[in-house]
Amino acid sequence: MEKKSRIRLTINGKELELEAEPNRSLLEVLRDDLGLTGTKQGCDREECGTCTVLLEGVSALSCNLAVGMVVGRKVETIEGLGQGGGLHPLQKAFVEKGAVQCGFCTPGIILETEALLRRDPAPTSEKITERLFPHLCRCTGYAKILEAIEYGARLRRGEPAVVTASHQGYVGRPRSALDAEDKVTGRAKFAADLYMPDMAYAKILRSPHAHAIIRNIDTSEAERIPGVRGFVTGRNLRAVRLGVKPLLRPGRGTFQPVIAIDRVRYKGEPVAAVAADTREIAEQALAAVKVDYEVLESVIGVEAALKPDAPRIFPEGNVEQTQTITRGDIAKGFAEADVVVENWYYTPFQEHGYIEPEAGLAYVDTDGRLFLQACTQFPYQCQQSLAQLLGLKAEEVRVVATPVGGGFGGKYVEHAWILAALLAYEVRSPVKVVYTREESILSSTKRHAALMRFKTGASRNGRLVALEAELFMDVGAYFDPLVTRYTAVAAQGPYEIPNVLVKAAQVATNVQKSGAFRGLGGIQIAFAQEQQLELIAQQLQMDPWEIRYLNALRPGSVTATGHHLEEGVGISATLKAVRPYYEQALQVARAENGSRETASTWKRGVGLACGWRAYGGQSTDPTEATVELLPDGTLEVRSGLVELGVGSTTALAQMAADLMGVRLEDVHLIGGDTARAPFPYTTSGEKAVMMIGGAVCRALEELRAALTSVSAQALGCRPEEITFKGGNALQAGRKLPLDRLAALCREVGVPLKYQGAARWSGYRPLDPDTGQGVFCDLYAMRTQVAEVDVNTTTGEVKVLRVVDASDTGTVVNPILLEGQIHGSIVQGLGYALTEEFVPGQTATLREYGLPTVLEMPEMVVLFVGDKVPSTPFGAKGAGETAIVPTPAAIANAIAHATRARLRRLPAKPDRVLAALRES
Amino acid sequence: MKSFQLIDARSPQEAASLLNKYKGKAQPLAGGGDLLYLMKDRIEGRQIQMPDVLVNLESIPKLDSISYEKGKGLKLGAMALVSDVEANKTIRERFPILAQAAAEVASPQLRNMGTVGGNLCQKPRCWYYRNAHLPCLKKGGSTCYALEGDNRYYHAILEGGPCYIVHPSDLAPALIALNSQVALVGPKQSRTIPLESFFVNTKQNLYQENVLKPDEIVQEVSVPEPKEGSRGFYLKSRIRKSWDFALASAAVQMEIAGGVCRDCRIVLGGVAPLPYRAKDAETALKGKKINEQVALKVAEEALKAAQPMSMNAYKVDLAKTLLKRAVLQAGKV
Ligand SMILES: Cc1cc2nc3c(=O)[nH]c(=O)nc-3n(C[C@H](O)[C@H](O)[C@H](O)COP(=O)(O)OP(=O)(O)OC[C@H]3O[C@@H](n4cnc5c(N)ncnc54)[C@H](O)[C@@H]3O)c2cc1C
Ligand code: FES
Ligand code: FES
Repeated sequence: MEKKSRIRLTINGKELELEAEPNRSLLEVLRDDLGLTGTKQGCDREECGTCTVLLEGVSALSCNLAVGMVVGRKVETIEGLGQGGGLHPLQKAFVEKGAVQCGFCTPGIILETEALLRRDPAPTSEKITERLFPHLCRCTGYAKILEAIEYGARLRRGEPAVVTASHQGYVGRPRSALDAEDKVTGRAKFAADLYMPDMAYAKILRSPHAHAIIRNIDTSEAERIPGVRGFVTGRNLRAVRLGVKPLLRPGRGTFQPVIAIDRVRYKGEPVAAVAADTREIAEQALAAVKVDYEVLESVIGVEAALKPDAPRIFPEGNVEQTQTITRGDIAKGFAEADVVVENWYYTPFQEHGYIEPEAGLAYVDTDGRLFLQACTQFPYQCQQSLAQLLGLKAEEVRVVATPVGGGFGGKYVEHAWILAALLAYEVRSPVKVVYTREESILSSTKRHAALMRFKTGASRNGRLVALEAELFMDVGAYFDPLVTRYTAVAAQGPYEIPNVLVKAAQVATNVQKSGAFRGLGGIQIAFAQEQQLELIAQQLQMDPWEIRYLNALRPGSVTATGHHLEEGVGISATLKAVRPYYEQALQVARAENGSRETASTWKRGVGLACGWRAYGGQSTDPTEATVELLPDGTLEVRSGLVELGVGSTTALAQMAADLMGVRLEDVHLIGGDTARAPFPYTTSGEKAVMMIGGAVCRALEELRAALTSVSAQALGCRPEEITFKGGNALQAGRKLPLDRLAALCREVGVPLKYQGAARWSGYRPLDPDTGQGVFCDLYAMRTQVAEVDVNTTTGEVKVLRVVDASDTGTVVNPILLEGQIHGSIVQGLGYALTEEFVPGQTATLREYGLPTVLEMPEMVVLFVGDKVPSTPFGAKGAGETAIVPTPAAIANAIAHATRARLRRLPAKPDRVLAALRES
Repeated sequence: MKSFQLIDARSPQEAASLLNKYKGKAQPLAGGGDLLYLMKDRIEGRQIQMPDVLVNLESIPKLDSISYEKGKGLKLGAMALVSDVEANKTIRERFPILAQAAAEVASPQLRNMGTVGGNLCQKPRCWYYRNAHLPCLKKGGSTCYALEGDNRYYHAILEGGPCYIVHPSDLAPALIALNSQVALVGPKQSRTIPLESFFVNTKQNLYQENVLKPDEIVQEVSVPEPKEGSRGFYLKSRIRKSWDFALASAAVQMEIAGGVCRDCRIVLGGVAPLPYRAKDAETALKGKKINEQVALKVAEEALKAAQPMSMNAYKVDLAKTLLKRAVLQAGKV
């Protein structure tokens, strides 16, 4: 390491002199040495914008400045904004406009905007997007950020704030996320922002081979390097010594080891993990580990894995027939069909692309308990895994979820923090792990790539009569049936089809494991099924909208799994909602294409797609929650809910506040902590709100009943006369504040803490051979219209507008739900056009191609559908599934514009040009 | 990141002397946009090593200047910021092709840090080359992975082989189209050469994309005053609307009188290991009245010699389209 020098800098107005190696990045020095962790590290490669600081008032990427290059200069970080009390106008605008979801990108974007506004207080929207596009945000789809910037600029110029009238109740009202203020100020501590004295850094040695036998691992030399504290490898695993299966995620029907034992099955699979005093020593140590591999033939891609002579990843073979669904008589169905369309479709892997890389910090506390803080969506499963791997009781492991900087299904029980925790247990000192962007992309789970054969039959009048679908889901190196099952259930689309045969298989290949990703199953299906419908409509010369409306599921319909649908079947309502937009778009396209010179290389097109996906738990186990009225009259709610930046906690708090008649600020939510809220829950996001919300509502009902009877007694009235509002129990103008009521309850010995439970009641596991059963209680449903411009000579595709109508039931918080939908649409757009993960090759965010604000279309969000009787407040939620129809709608729009049918994604210029040549 | 010592230079000569003193172990540091990136990933091999010493050019006075003298032309100091080139009023008016190219570089933030010298000397973006774990041909290994591998985006269709990188710079095609000269400074001697001959293909030098000696730096790029009636246009195609390197780009600078092209220079970016001067296309354009057919013919001529790889044939069509459009745009009066 380079010699330290004395470096003078002015940071947030304070002159500092510090000792640092001049070749370290400014970002690292700000975070590690100065504790200014509001400046984030999303990539360390100039590609995400999260590390933005102001250098002499101009925005600069601190990850790529050596501190030696900025000696004597003025640096401002997010911590320096709004100093001297109160939020900076931009911070205030971001909070109010719902521009903050996970918040990981927020500090960088706010500083970028501040730099712009100092020079140009009233920038045009072009200027704004030009500054914003290098800032990647995976959550918001950028729309609310743009809104916040324009509003913030107005506030900053001294224009008055827009005050929304105060109103009764919270459910159904736009509210900014509860944690937004912490995120805009940089105060929120993400996992990578945690530091402890005597902390070691963990690094992971990964397999350079896609498939190999490990003959030997030799860490002896590496262990002698000063500063190395310890190793975990497949050879010294405690679980192996204990005779326990060393699984990363026990109980999921999957054999994925926590670290490679005797074989590696994908490039990037962890082989050894080290803890050392510094990151550099950890890296040196890994370089000194000797692994003797016997390289085996590998297989990448479903097509290759299906070949009879393909190398075998498991002795049983690479293909596991996971789920068959049959309904009606498929042969008869096709015999009756007047048109039959059959095609293959392929959808690729998708990287979650959360801007926060995987991170965690673990240590063993003074009582000998293992304590892990990590950006996990599922602390309870991490606890389970660790307890099993270390032979501990669940109570001996505590896992706390830090704010998750974007999850989308990808931050589950992950190697990063599980290995860090195992190391911490071995070496008995705090161990921190933070993935580099490259290892995050290389090793994290992906959306399943899917190869699909769809054969669809319809009668002359447009009725769908038969569907045969064969689905091959690329599960990566370790089998895991869940997503394949979701896909099988989704295969029919939100349509009534009397004769169905679905065969879904998961296929093992030598790449990182596939896993959950929002919209799972539904998105692959929509890409195939919605193009099939389009082709049938073409053959029958039918309107694309009509054919969908004619076949749409309705209350009373029966799905291919035999599920009788009663509530939450709003697909036709969403179709009706988009219809005026669809027709107007068609008119505009006709006019546009007509007025352009015939030689014009740009063609306008409009595409329609519906989508659905199963929604709800995969078990009937109840989930629990407790509520307690605290002595100060505020409410404490403990549940298994983790905040993923999707506003779930805010929605839950809104429900609780309304039920108990208290202010939102007076609801304290405790969740995502296995010790303080021991209520395991296995799904995430909005579905969790339905379930956990149910449990909280039950508990609150009990609390209310107790409080009602005590206050009726105190006020000398009948219980029916009591209502709760404004933090009081009310009766005919008289009021009893909740803090007084709490004291009264204690006096008379009435408990203030109650537990409630809720379950998905309908679940009946699918029969593996016929697929009959009830997979879930509800289905999310929606329709989208996409308008695109396609350049027929360069293959460029611009998505101009997406109109989305979703069946939401009651909307608990419109601003947060809208933000979710925007984010999902842009994720779907990225999947359709720019994102591509090439196994073993894609290493950076730029190569992967996350969409920027320049790719963002105009988005119109419509909420339709009736209240759902069985959920709290009749809410259904529909944010994350907005991703489902987007790629299909775009593909249909491209075909409408050019006749080129894309059967493979992504539609990058080369592929669009190839499809154009074929058409 | 590879650790390094940072030494401030006070003059171009001193920078060159420092490079000479630490021969082979030192490299100039401009904005760091590419160099520090490579150092973090340790993109090295038998033939390409990461430096131990970085000679800081930022401390050299006036090396960031942009000056214009009527009749003599434009001078860009090596440390001139890409963002200043983009925003400079004179450049926008008299050398619009250069301002267009500058605006196509990376993002506003990176243009604010990136320099003219660094942009011309940046390393290619082949993802095999940039993968620290692959000992590719260019790093001193024995295979060019792009041949058998994924060569869809950032690989050559012209003058490729034995290594198939494409030159990533957006400034270079525009500057060559403007017939620029580049001044190089060594510890003892200086030399000035046409920018076109500054770049080499991978047959000429596998490990370096230009003719810089290890102890030389780029001091200045000078652009001659364009002739009366000279017009230029730069067009770039990329995967996303912005932010990405060129899949292909076209720079056309020409003198026109009465709709007829008197003289021209045509350079393509993103298609070859060096900015590709399309001389046959220039011949096809000179003396012609500019219209669709001529533009099409020019594009055909420019790509006549194309030898696409297994997966990048579409780039031939793409480059043709861009060039055709650039010719028509530049020819619009
Ligand atoms: C995400 C990303 C996207 C990008 N997109 C584009 C793009 O689309 N188009 C484009 O053209 N560029 C692009 N770039 C390049 C970037 O904008 C810079 O121009 C480039 O990184 C180099 O500029 P620099 O001044 O930072 O040079 P440095 O990184 O400091 O240096 C680059 C190289 O040049 C050498 N060097 C620098 N100055 C001199 C000199 N005066 N004499 C001799 N050698 C010198 C250095 O030793 C080093 O080898 C991109 C970069 C990134 C990170
Ligand atoms: S961390 Fe600097 S740009 Fe991503
Ligand atoms: S809110 Fe922007 S990345 Fe999550």
